[in-house]
Amino acid sequence: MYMNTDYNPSITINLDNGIYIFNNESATGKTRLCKRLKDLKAYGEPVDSFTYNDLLRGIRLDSVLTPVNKVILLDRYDLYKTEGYDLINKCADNSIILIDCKTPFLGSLDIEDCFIEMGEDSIVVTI
Amino acid sequence: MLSVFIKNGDEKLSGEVVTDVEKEFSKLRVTGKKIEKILIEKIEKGKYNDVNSYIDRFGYKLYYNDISNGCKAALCVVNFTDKIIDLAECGNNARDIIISFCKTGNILIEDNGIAISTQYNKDIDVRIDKYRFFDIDRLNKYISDERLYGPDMSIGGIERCI
Repeated sequence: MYMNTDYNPSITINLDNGIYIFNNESATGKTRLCKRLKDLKAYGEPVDSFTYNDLLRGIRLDSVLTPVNKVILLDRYDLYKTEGYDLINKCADNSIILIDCKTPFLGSLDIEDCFIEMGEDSIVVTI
Repeated sequence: MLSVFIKNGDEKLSGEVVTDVEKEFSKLRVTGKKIEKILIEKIEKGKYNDVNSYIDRFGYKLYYNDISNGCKAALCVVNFTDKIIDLAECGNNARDIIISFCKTGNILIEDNGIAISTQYNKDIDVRIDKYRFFDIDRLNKYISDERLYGPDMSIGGIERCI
């Protein structure tokens, strides 16, 4: 589990380590969470995120998928799916990996669905 | 009429397919036409404010850059009507709202086995393959049961496209 109430919005990831796929719904707050995790990384928190534009900018997935990060969100994964399967599986033992993928994720059989709830000043992710 | 293409691997689509919706959306200027307001309301649960901003579900004024990718895709559909917008990044809610309300444009979708919802708007104007549909239930039946062998034209809500 990861919780941070020092900053606004507060972030609660109420999950054990492993790989989670967001439910198939638009406009739930995934990209907002992605942006917040990047900010929190800059503030020194053990979290990070990656999105398609990062790939286009030449940033490598392995700079984000490291055991240093306790929460990792892969946003817009449909556009770079099949990337990083080995890393994702390796990190899953020590990190909570959240993936925005609307098409079937084939990188692992050991995945669960998760749900995101965005409030005015909070973001919560649960099973 | 909204044209719907279903991914099947071999199909060659005539027309430019837009896969990076966020990039395409950044070329767009939201002008506030009625369909745009509907899409922002239904998908984003927000409200059109002006050409640069919208009001989000919590009442905050945000730039369009902050709007969800699903809503960006929908706005691309109604503004770039000469392109085929790949809805790969859209959740089922955005897909269903686009099909329910958009009467122009082109979309590319996956047949994921999940029926299009009738909760938003039952009357549609959609073309798939060589047929035009005016009813969501009829469209769902065609996609799930009839695409392989052809539709039963005696059931209403469908006509052949010329």
